[in-house]
Amino acid sequence: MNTKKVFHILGFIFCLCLVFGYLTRVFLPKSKGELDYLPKTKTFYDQPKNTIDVLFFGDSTFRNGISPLILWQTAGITSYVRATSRQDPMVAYYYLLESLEYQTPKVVVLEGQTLFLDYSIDGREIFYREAIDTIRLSAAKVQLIFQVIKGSSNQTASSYLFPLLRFHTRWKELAFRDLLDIDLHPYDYYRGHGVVLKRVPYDLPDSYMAANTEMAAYNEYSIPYHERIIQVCKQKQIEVMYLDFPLLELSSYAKHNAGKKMAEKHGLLFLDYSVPEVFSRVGFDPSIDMWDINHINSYGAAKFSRDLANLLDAQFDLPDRRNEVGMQQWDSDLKIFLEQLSQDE
Amino acid sequence: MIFTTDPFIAFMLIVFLAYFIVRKKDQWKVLLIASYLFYWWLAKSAVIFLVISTLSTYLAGILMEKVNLQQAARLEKEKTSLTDKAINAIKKSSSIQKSLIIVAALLINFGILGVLKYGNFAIPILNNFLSHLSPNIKISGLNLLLPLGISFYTFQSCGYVIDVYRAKIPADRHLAKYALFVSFFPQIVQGPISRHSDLAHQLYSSHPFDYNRLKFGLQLVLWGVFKKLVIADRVVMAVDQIFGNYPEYSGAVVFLGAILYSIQIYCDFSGGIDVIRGIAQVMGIDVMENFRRPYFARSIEDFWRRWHISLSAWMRDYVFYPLSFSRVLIRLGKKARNILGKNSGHVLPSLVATTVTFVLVGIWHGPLWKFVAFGFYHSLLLNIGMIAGMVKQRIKISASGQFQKITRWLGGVGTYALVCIGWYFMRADGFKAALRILQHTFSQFLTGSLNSGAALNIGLDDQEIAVLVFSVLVLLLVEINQERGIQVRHKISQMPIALRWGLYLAAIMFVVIFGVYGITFTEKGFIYMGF
Repeated sequence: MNTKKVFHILGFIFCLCLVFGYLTRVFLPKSKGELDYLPKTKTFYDQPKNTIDVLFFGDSTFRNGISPLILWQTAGITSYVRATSRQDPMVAYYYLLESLEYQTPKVVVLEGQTLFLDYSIDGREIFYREAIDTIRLSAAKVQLIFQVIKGSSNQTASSYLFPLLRFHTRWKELAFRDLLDIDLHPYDYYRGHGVVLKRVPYDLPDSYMAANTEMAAYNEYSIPYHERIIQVCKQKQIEVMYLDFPLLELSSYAKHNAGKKMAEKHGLLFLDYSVPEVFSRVGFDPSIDMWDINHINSYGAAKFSRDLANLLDAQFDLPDRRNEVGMQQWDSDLKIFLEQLSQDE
Repeated sequence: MIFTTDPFIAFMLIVFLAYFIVRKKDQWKVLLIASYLFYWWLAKSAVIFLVISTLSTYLAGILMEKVNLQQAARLEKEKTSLTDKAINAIKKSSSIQKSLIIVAALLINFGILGVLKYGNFAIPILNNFLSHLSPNIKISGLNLLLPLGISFYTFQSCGYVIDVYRAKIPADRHLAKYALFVSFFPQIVQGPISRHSDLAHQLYSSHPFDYNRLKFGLQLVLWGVFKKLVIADRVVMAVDQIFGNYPEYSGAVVFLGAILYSIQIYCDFSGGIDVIRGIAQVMGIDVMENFRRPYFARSIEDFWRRWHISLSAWMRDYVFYPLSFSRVLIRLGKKARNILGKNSGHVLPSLVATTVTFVLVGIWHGPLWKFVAFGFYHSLLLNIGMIAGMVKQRIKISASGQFQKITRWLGGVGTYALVCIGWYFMRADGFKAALRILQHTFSQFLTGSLNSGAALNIGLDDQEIAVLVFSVLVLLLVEINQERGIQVRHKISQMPIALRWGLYLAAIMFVVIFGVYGITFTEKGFIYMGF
């Protein structure tokens, strides 16, 4: 085969990649589309290397409950919430591996609830898509894809590697403006926090977190991944802790007991905000700090994050980076967040 | 669709790479390994039947050739001393030996096919018959899974044995190479049923990488995927809706369903064949054409020269001709000539042979009465066509000029309509269901219930219909050009590069975007993979 034909093949493949890449951007659901809260991961990748000290891995509870900007405001802690909807420990594990390619955190915070929730891959495609389609191609991403495919009866690796093969069916929904709306990575002012300024009043159920000695059963699927995360962190000398938020429907004392036991087994700190005794210290009031029965709104997140910042500061040797050069962006983003909180209050 | 799954695409890339990297003389080994891996992946332990078929037909070929050689050697050695009678005796003895061998080989192969494919069909009929003899005799049903592609590779290997028997081809002496001929992976699951003389030498010889073959092969693959994913798998939604709820539609809409089914089955089957041919073409192998624009046929006879060509050619060569020239039918012809006249004597054996052949074509599809009816229906049409042709010749009707054009056009439309009626048997759930739907079609052609907007609701929304209509028009345009003798792929390759690449990219992206595939759709296998 002569050189001209080789160039023809390469040239055609290049053009195909361009067209395919462009159409992928057109067809992928944007954050304002069907998958709300798409993690704006580019902001994470754009953080200066080795400047994030705390990483949070969990589901929407973490996304809504933690504000890294408030951690910053309170104790100068740099953190990032790498939460995705219904994130299971398998996703958390590969997210950790991916995160470690960019940052060397001092603390990794895991969600205790994920020890118990049931995760079956079939029927949860939308959550894996949110987790996988929004991150860059990496070894961790490829491994995560193959784990998902292994456990799925109808998902394909190609649809994750080339998401257009999954979202091509959206051709009926697209309008002309979608051809121009191809920015998949808007800036994330809130460092992974999902801002919700809606207040839905809830009363604590009478039976909420009634103390007992029962132990909730761990999810067999979750435990190996929790252990892997802990193992990786130990190897990298990263502290790990468990954290839980009040979920009025899902929290239970049996889970609290089992979470505590797991933390003790691995010598980890377990901070359980679902226990009503801490509510007064934090200032949490379910009648104003929630937006649905299992999710805290941003006002509640600010309260918990202040308490969490103090605790992290006290427990771990975390630097206060507020006076470091190049961190001004945190202050300006914090200003925007605080303005949002104050406008609605 | 097996050919668009991740594992198959990965498998193909590895096979392509290995095929062009290994030494040229080892290319056939790559294909053999790939073929068996592919079949093992799809059919698991049923690979044993493939092995039995390969071994039995291979041995039969070798043994028959040995008999031929022994006969030739004996005749050569003793040619001066042998009388004509002795020569005939030697030939007869050889012929008997060969007959025994071929009968054994065909019994093994068609026996396996018969038991696995038709066992459950035949047992109730047998039981029904036996119950008249004694109420205590009952054969229990078989619970066997039909090995994938068995009808295709059985016919292909049996065709080989018959060709060796007829001394049309020499026996294949290399077992491994012969195993490749039987199992060649792109075509094993849904044909075409290739002839040894056409395919084997291509599989065994070396093929250097060829840019044009790569280009044209991939274009053919894309065209096949377009037909399958964009047209067949889209139109099936409407077909299922109409046939599944036919009482709600007028007969005209149900007939539209049959027309849509004609598009579905054609695009499904020929799309798969195009992918197979495209893959083979990349590797330098020309797999025979199995379809030649069948809906452009001017008669049912013409239709069968264009539809599933490899099966109809197989049936013609190995069933129709032997049957037509069999002693029984020749004798029947003679009797008919004495009673009914000269022409009847000539035509009657053909009518009988056609009926038997097409009933077998029907049964080839599966052990259901609806397939028998499908075959019988086509044999009936062919026989009527044959008699009409005879009458036309006798009374010397001939059209000319404009009138000829009109009659040809009408012939085409009429043929298509008749073919669509035949598809009722293929699409319906059973023979009785097909008759019910046919009765509904013609008895309520315009008077069927039109309430609830059912007449318009055919399971596709306006946007889907627009994509479907556009795609069918593209298909029609390409086929009209092909029918005129234009080689579309060559024509495109002569376009300026910008236009050509634009066309390729548009075609690829059209299939990617408008193809019916992915997690939101139920995957549709190939219809003919089930046969």
